[in-house]
Amino acid sequence: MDFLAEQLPIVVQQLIAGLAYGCIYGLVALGYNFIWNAVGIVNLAQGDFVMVGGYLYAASFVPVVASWLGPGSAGSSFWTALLLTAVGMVLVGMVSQRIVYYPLRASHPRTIMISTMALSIFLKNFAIVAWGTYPVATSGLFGQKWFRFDLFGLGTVTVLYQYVFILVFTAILLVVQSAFFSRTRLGRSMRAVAQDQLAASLMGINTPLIIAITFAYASILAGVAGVLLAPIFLVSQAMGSIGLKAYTASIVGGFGNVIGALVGGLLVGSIEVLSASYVSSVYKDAIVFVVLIAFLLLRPQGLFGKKVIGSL
Amino acid sequence: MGIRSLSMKDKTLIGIILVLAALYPLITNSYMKFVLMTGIVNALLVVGLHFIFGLTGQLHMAMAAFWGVGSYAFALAVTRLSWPYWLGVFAAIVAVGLLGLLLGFPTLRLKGFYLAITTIGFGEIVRLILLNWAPVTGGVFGVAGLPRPTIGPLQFGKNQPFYYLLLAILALLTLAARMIEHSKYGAAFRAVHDDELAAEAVGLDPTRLKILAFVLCGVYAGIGGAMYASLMQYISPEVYTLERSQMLAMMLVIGGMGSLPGAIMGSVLLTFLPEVLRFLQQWYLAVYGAIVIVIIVYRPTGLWGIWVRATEWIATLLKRRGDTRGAA
Amino acid sequence: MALLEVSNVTMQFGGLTAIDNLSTRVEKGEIHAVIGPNGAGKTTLINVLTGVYPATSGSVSFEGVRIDGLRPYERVKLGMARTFQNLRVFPSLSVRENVTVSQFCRTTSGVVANTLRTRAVVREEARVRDRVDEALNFVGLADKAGWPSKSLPYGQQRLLEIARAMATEPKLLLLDEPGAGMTLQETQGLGVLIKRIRDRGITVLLIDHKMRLIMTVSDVVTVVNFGKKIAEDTPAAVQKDPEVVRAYLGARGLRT
Repeated sequence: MDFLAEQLPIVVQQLIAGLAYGCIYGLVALGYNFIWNAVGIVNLAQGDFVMVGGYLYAASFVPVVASWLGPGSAGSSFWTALLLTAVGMVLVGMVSQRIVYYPLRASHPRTIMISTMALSIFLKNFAIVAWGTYPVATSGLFGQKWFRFDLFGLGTVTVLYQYVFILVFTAILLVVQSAFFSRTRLGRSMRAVAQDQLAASLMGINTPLIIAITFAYASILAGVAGVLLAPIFLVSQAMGSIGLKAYTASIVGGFGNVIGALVGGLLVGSIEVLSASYVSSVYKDAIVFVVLIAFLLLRPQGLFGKKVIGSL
Repeated sequence: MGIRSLSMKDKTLIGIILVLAALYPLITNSYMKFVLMTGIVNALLVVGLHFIFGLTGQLHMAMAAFWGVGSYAFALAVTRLSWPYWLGVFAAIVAVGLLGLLLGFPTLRLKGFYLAITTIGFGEIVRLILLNWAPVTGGVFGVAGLPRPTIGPLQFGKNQPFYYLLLAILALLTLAARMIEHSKYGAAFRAVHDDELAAEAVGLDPTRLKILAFVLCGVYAGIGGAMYASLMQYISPEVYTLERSQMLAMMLVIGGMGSLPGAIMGSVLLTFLPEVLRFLQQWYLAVYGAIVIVIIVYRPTGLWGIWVRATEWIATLLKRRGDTRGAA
Repeated sequence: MALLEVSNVTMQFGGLTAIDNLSTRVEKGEIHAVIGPNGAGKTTLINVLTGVYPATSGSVSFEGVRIDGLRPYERVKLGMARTFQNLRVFPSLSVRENVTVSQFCRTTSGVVANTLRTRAVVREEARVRDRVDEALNFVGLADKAGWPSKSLPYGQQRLLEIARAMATEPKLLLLDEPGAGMTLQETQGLGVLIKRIRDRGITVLLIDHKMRLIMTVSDVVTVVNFGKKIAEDTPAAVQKDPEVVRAYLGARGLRT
């Protein structure tokens, strides 16, 4: 029991980190799901959108905005740069779908997957041209600042402010998102298209536009994930690997399911962080993929998915 | 059997092999000669991928893992175990064939993107093992001092003879792939690709056929992996990545899905494309990605489709000229 | 011993009972029709018999052997072949190749032998070619062997499916609405074809809406409604059965 009591603060500390990473995966997984529901394809460049978002924020907008606003404006430059990044991601999402999805919309999904793969390669190499090969560091709102608290007298837990910020920010984003989908006309149109494209277009919804907006929204989510991650995970091409973890999260949660994406993300993030410290740090990613394969073999519909997958 | 009785695909295959044979001495730059050799090794892998991706239509994204296990099985067999060269190649074939079997089983149930993500995960697991199981794989340092082959009195240590050996292996394996494609297995693979339910209704076992396709792909990847190791004479884990798997899949798609000549054209040309674009300096890989997107989106039949149309166009042009001459 | 014996088969999807405790026997050498209004569970029955769906309860025996647990391709090997109501020819295969793959389960040569194209493989291929020619001749598609299967007109794609099923060398052929979408003339040809199939010693289980076709070719007719068997007799007797008439009068008359 002593051992457990000793370990508890450490586990709590790591769980908080795991949940923060999980939120990031969840946001990107949501993007996969929205696109999947709308057009039945998986955008393999989604992870690279995270990277583009991170670079746009850390390497492009933060320096520019900071020079506009002058010193001592960390807070307002963060929010301004975040907003600009979101706008930039709308552009990235719209242009990407126009080039790699729209012309192929009637082709076999495999062809579209290959074209998003080519987009992924393009984006990685474009990032080299645009932002160089060195990782970019940025401080965000809190930098590497952390705080401590005492856990029921068992020990001290040390947590980065950024982790807490990620949790809070994601929670607020999800509330806003759910209001958007249920209250606004655009949100309802997006849901209608996701449910049944044909019926939606018969009801007079401009389906191609809504699909483009869905892509744009998915890339905003990826971009925001990049911004949130930037202060704790140097911005580099390696950020694209988030895409795979997020894909895992969406499968674990149940592909196409909104709550599933988030729960899957939290689960993947926790598994990753805990296995890094209790199993093996070099094999943490391998463990995540083993979990993924186990899910696909034993429960392919995921935690929240419908039973029938059909001919995906 | 005269040349006229061969199909257009077969003629093109023979033509490609002959062009590749003639190309080597024509290239003067020794670096470019090496790139051409890499292109041949890529073609070996892509012809293997053709069985799964092209014929059976399964999204196999762990090609780099197959290829890496082939390289390592060969490298470890000839260095650690001091096995003879060709026994090492055989070990690579067996190792990757077994890996194909292991990966083939999950495909019992998984389709489409689910299969894609499974193979991606599988590939990453293999890559991490190659990277981190240092006592066996040598970790980040890889395995050095790998030999080039000999066959009896013939030495293939120098690049030129080794190139022609690689080309001969490619020709042989392409012939084998062509034979399988034209046999009952080729038709059965394509039937599974078209409609699994209907395939079962005419007595085909889709699972067995898919596993077979994975194993065949594994055999090619084993040979390709061993040849790559022998070409480089040194291997390290950082090349066997997801990006490489994607690259190989794209070579097949750009070449023209489901056609062997396209697979080889795509492999060689896409291996060269980045080198040709080097004058663009830092832009070259981004432009490469853009070119790939443009071909996939606007020329979905790939290089093979372009080639077919070009030859048809030339044929009608020649015919028209012949007709006018006949009229005059 | 009946060729096919269906005992108390029930098939449920969620809360919906598509087949309700259905039993029937298909005797060797007969043309056995299953009719019923739309949604009566006819296609579901074929899918259960061929192994696409596992039955919720009950058993199916073929030549006295229980086949409930077998996969569709295993049943084909035992001698059951089928066609599909909604056409499922292999679009990327030619007409000939569509029929050739059906012979796969009747051949034994392995991958290595095929790669080397050994003499045994050449012999096997010659034998397969004969069988395929025969099947194509049988349905009258021999002159279209080289066509891409998708370019065949609708009625001929149906014939191609029949040729494909015949090439698996079945003892029992299950035809799922083979006359759907056919012209009157094509349907008459189909009736003749079905009788010719029977004359070759192949038992036929036929599902269709077209009453004239059913009544002219069948030896036995089983009538199902809401997944239940409501009658089973000769065509003439079934036509007079009051319950059958009642089941049909709402939907359509028996004369069609």
